[in-house]
Amino acid sequence: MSKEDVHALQLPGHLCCPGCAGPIGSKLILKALGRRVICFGPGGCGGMAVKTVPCFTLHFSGVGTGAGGIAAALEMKGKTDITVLSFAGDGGTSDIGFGKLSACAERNDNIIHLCCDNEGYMMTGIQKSSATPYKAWTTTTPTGKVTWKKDLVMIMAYHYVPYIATATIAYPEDFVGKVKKAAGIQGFKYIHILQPCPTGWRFPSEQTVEISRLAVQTRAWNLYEIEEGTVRITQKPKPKPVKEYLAPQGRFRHLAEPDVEEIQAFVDSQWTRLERLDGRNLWEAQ
Amino acid sequence: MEKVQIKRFSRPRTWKELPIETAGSSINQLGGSGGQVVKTGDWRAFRPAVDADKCVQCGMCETFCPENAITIKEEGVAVDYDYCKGCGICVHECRVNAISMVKEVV
Amino acid sequence: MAVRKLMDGNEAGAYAAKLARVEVIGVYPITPQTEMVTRLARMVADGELRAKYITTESEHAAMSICAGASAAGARVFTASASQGIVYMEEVLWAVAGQRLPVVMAICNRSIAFAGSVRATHSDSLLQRDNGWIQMYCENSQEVLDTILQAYRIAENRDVYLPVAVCLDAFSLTHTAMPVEIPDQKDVDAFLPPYRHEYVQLDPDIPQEIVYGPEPDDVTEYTYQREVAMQNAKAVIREVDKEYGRRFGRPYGGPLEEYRCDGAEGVLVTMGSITGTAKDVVDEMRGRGEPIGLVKLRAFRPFPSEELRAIAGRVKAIGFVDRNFSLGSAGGGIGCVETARALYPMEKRPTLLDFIIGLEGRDVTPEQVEHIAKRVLDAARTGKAEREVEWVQLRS
Repeated sequence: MSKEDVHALQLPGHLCCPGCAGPIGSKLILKALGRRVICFGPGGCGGMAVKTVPCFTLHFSGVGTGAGGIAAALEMKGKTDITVLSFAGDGGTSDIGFGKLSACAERNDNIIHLCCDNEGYMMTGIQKSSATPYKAWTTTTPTGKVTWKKDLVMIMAYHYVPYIATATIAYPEDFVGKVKKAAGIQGFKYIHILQPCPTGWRFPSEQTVEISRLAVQTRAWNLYEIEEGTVRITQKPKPKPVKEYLAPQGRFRHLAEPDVEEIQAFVDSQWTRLERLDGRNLWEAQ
Repeated sequence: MEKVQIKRFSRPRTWKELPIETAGSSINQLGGSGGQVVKTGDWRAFRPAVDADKCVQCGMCETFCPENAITIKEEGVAVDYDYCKGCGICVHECRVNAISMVKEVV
Repeated sequence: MAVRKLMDGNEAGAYAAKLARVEVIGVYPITPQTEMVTRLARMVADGELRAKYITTESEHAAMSICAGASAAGARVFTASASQGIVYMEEVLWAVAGQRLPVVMAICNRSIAFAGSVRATHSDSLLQRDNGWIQMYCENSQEVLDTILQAYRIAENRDVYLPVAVCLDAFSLTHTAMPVEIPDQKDVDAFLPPYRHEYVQLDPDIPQEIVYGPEPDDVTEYTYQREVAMQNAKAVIREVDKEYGRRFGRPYGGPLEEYRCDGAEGVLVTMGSITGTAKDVVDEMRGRGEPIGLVKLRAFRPFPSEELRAIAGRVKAIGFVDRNFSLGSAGGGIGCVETARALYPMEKRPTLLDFIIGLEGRDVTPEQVEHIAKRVLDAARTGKAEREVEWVQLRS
């Protein structure tokens, strides 16, 4: 895929905040797939990038459904070379559209669902979603969210779909590789992308990619895939303390030392659990 | 870009001029933005300035620019200042510190 | 060869979808629609219909899937009722707004009281603002015929609006009547394959960039739909005429005048009540009473011109509303719309409203005769004893 093609597939001039990770992610997706795609959205505020491929929008609550319909129509028409993408934010995917997403997965609709996770309802001004992390400030959790981030990836795994992956923008080759792999698989594919939001996470706009990198380096966000139930960790960085990820973000400014320790313990246990699963098949007896 | 047609209007369009397929969604019209492209260059307070001597053309700035406003050309890094919002990601990600933020002159 | 079978409205709907060669069906079951969609499942499984049959987890998803499929070039079908219509409400606005020619059967059922499953027109009438065309059926035959007509209306290049074909819960959905199933070849000649002239999700079609002022075009897009609604009036008439020529069963377009010639008063009915009312009109005419009936087939677009023409020839109109609009300007929804349609007339007939048949309460010939007598009284005296009457109210 030549550079010119990416510049032709996504144009500047969108209304996302300066430093928004959404358009970076969408660029990488289009770089992976090229022009033979149809997008269903809207995909949260990061989905507002100016794409020159066909896009169809319904309500942000209709997560995956329109894409399933498009895929069905393409199948009836015999158009097998077009990839159908379903974009949704974390609020759409994990809250209001959760049932729809689950049904799409259960039906094994031939689409790639991309959860553009900026960990909150950011378009409406930073409200908490099920994907907002523990203790994060939002306008509806001003003293910090008291519940943990819902593990959508594992929930999707137990829908027995052929391919699931996590990704983030700071690891572009990892991201592009996963999207390409998903496009080559029939059935329901789920890619969960961590997209740091300078406006909602309260950090300067130039640090978006850095925060995304720190998420993986501190194991606050792990990059792995689940292919036919088999787990494979795709990035194993030398770990940094999670404090380095939390400190630059204003939404964690109120955290005290015990909070950071609690989060570190959680991050450690999640990594251990993932490491034990690395190379194993989730769907088989453990 | 033969797959994209450009139309210019200096005034809002009448009900007869609006294509019916673009009502409420973005079919046949640039996805996500409702078809409108806004010159976001006037958002910025700082602009990135590239030192061509230091630049090694690694492409990191082009990969990570959220506006897709950076293109690596043969002659070097080209920034489309009509759209650059001055977010500073290119400056932060440049491995050789070849880009710096300069105050925008009004 | 056309075949005659005994079938209820649900089965007729399934046959119509099959004959229309629908390609994607999004399904969620709800009483009293369930048998329509399970019949379709068997048709697809038996290879009688080549379609993608998608079982969804909610009506909202069913309609969203139909919307996506329609935009991507497939002819779609779905059916729902009552709560299901309300659950998919936001998608209905999007489907109409995006000019997608979806056809849906609405098995009219009242909206939420605990355990309410029987006929009321509230669920479809709730959609009267958003750009959905809606047509009401008197019997199973009309269900089959109207669904086929609906695709021609929806897919007309001057319309491109979705169409709801309405049939009453149980009295139509579950009541068997003789139906003539047209031959597939004849239907193919009437209904060509679907191809939307404007809305096509296709990477090979050039995308458009518009450089211009801030987009604020909702008023204009909405007006386009109003224009399409007005265009639909002529299309409904023409499609019905053509259907009548090809299949021998014309329905009169947006409404049917039944024995209105020489009538002093007319009833206006929608849905299955029409069948009972026609029998009562026949009986009363047999006794020399000057009563007629207008069967309202299309509620949207509302046939104001046709109603005004009839109103100019009669002295009283009684609208039979199988719905309610609590706190309205006066009576049920049909009556309020009719009042507006008749308002510009210099000399207007007396307008009465009769609310009846709620929650499937059986509408008897005696009750229809009572309504007809009220209308004829108003025709004679020039005024209504009561403007709105809840006919079956126990009081």
